[in-house]
Amino acid sequence: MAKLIQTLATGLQLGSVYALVALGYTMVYGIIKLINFAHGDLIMVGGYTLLYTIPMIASMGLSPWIAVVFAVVVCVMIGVLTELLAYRPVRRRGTGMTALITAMAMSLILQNLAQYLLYMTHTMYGATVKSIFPQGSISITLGHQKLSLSLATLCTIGISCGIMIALQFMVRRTALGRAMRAVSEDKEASSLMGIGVNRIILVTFVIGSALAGIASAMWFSIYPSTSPGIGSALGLFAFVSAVLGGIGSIPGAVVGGFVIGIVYSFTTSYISSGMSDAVVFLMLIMVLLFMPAGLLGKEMKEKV
Amino acid sequence: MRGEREEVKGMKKGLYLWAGLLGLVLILQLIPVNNLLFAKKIVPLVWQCCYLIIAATSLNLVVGCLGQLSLGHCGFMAIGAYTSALLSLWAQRAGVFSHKESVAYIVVVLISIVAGGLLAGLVGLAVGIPALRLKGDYLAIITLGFGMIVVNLINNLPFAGMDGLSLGSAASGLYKTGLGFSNRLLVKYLWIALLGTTGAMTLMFKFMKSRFGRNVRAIRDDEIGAAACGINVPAYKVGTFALSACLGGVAGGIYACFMSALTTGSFAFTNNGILNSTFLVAMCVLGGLGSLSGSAIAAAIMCLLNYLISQTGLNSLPGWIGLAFSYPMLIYAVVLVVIIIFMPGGLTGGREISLKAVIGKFGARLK
Amino acid sequence: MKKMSVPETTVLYRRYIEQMAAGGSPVLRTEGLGITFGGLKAVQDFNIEVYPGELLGIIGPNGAGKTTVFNLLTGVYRPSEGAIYIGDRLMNGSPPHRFVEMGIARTFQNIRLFSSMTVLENVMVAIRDHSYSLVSALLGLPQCARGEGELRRRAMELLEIFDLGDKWDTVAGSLPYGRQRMLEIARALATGMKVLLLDEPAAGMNPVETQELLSYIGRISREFRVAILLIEHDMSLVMNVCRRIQVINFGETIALGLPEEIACNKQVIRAYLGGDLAGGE
Repeated sequence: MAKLIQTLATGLQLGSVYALVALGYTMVYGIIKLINFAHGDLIMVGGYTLLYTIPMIASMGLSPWIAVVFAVVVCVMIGVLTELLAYRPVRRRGTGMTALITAMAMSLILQNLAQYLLYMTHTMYGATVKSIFPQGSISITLGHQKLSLSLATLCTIGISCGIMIALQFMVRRTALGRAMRAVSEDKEASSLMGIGVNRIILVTFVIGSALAGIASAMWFSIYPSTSPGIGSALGLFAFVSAVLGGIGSIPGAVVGGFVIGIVYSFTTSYISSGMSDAVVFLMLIMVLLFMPAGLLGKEMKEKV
Repeated sequence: MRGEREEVKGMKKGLYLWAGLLGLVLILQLIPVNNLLFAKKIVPLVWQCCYLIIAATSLNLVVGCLGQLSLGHCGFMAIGAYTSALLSLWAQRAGVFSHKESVAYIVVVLISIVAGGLLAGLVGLAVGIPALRLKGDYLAIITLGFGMIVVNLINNLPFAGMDGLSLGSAASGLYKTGLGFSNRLLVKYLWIALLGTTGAMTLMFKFMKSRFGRNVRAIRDDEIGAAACGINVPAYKVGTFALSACLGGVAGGIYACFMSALTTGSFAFTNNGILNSTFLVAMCVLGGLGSLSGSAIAAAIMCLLNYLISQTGLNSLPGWIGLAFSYPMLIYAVVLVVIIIFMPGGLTGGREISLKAVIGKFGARLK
Repeated sequence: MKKMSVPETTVLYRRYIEQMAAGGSPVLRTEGLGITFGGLKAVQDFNIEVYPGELLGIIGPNGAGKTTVFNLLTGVYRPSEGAIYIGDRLMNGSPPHRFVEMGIARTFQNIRLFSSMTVLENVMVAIRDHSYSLVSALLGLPQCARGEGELRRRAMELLEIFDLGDKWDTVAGSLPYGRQRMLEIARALATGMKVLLLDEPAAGMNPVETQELLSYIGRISREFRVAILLIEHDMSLVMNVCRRIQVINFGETIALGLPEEIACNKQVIRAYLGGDLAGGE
């Protein structure tokens, strides 16, 4: 029983990180129909930012939480750069397929640039990031077994739930959110209505990247080791979460993230850690085959 | 009649092609194996080009000609590679051949490659039937998942274990006995790679030029319109996907002959080489979606560039230039984005390259 | 539940139908066809009988369900009730390409040509004659080249009819709009069908092109002896071409009749002009 709850808690913790990253994927996809493969690598960018800023801030005697601000700022900068330098010009001239290749190439660029910079700055592979969360855990006694939930787990779940509710409110209730939804429905009509389409797309990238910055702090409190490729596997899982929940849908990304997190953590602790990729993808395939639009997405039919 | 004239011309062209190939094979046999430049530098490059060309072109069949994005093509290559490697190992254990210069060995190699292709094709059929009901990015993510599952499964294959496959890597031990050519054999059996490439390319060209290929292109242009012309759209989609998977498997088999050991990392979605599903799609886009000749050229160029960067000591250049060349992926990716921005149609703009047209163009320019 | 009442028909109309029925049994027939999209009945209790070689129009105001009827008749949508017969064969649930094999061909309101392929290839795709096998194509056997030549010849013949012969090498997407519509009709004809369904063929055409289209439709009907089913909301076109007309509104058939009868049918005028204005035309 304790193991079950422990696994569930880990799953929720992982899931909330996946959900935050998935939100970035889903928002960008919703608005420009592009799988932004480089989004996962923002986690890596955030991780390296934290690696340097946490000790710096700690030495100044400030709370490590401030480091998250830096991570967010750097992630937003990189995210915006990818949009301005690559996606926007390609969107103007290319097709969906070329845009997708560009996204893959941006992911490669970020990863290899990181490798290059690591070499230049003599940073070790697998250097560990300090957790920004307070140490310690809450112990609960369940019958004979003792169960301990770390504060990091609880903080992660709590904070990300808060962010998601705020985001949902923003998209549903504010003028900006309305503009975003309008652009995702029909770019041309939106621009005729006086919405600056490119500006809204940029804002979407900013929000998505900021979420990735926050998510990186959470991720590295679970798995503190950094490496240039860390973002691609995580990013893939987050993207799978977004698709599973119904891409383009914010609640969908959240549900998908939690489902993937829980499935992943249960597969790892009850079946085998080597098979978790296969299980997650098999689940995705099954869901898509029976619910082509994902769990919460709405199906679009081509008009004949 | 125009049709008959074309028919004769086409058959003649085919005849020349095969005669040329035969001649090349004969010439190859004459070059002494101990010619170092040839054996150590050129032959491995040709092998690499061959499997990359087959892999990229067969992927273009689905991505470019059929218009369905697949991000898991390396999964099929992996199936082909591991199937043929294990099959040849089994043949060796069963005593089908005793040494690697016998005719029996050649037969085993050819059968292994073909069997790898067939199994990949069957898996392609099984995956394609459900997966191709989805479109666009959904199909992309499903095929990506398929590629990961294949790698994951091979990594966990129980039966291979110590028999040559341990945790997804076919150890060099396997290559002492089964598939996998030494430098000497790479030269001697270079014709296998050339034959495979020519055969696969001919097959794809014939397919795309026939009414079947025309139907495939019709589906790419307008699925509903194609169905309204009486084309069985799902069957064509799955069939093309399976053909592409099958040839991907053949590419994998040739890859297995060339390498001295297999690891599943070579068939991942991304890795530090140019053989992965990402770069295969990149080759299709660079060559021009839907242009088989274009993707073959793009694959060859990529292969050459990669060779130049990694083998010619550019990375030992002084300063940051040399350092940049030690991370060729960075350069490739940047170049890729630049090309996509300035040449969205790729090298060919999606049309097939015919020798006649190229000569005609050059002739016009000279005048 | 209320049973739909079949609209009243005139003696003249019934006599016309009897005359058609004497020429042969219907090639395409539906019984109580209907489809529901998320609770909305887009088409209900739709009955039609298409006789060989006849020219039949389906009209109705925007959003009346005309294109949905076509999508049902060609297998794009699966009916939620009722039955479709081609000849005696029940076609419910068959995929669209089976409908083509059974002799139903169509054009689309928003043109669906293979826009990156040449004019000739567009027509060649639609020829349903399986002249050579996959094996012979892959091996490059002579019968493949011969089959290709034959397909090419037949496609050229069709193109000639529509004055597209000289354009055979043009990429379909770069043809002018009116020509694209013609090509789509040529492509539909290439399937060798018994019933041709034209979905607003005159949409977006100028008056000269519309006149040209009219003459082509007449010619197809005469030379190919196929039944033509025409959707239009341009009343004058339908009145000129069709021998009988079925009017639908809100997914239901509201009138059946000869063109001159439909032109003065109160129900139809009301459907087009709105309830209160009826009779004020």
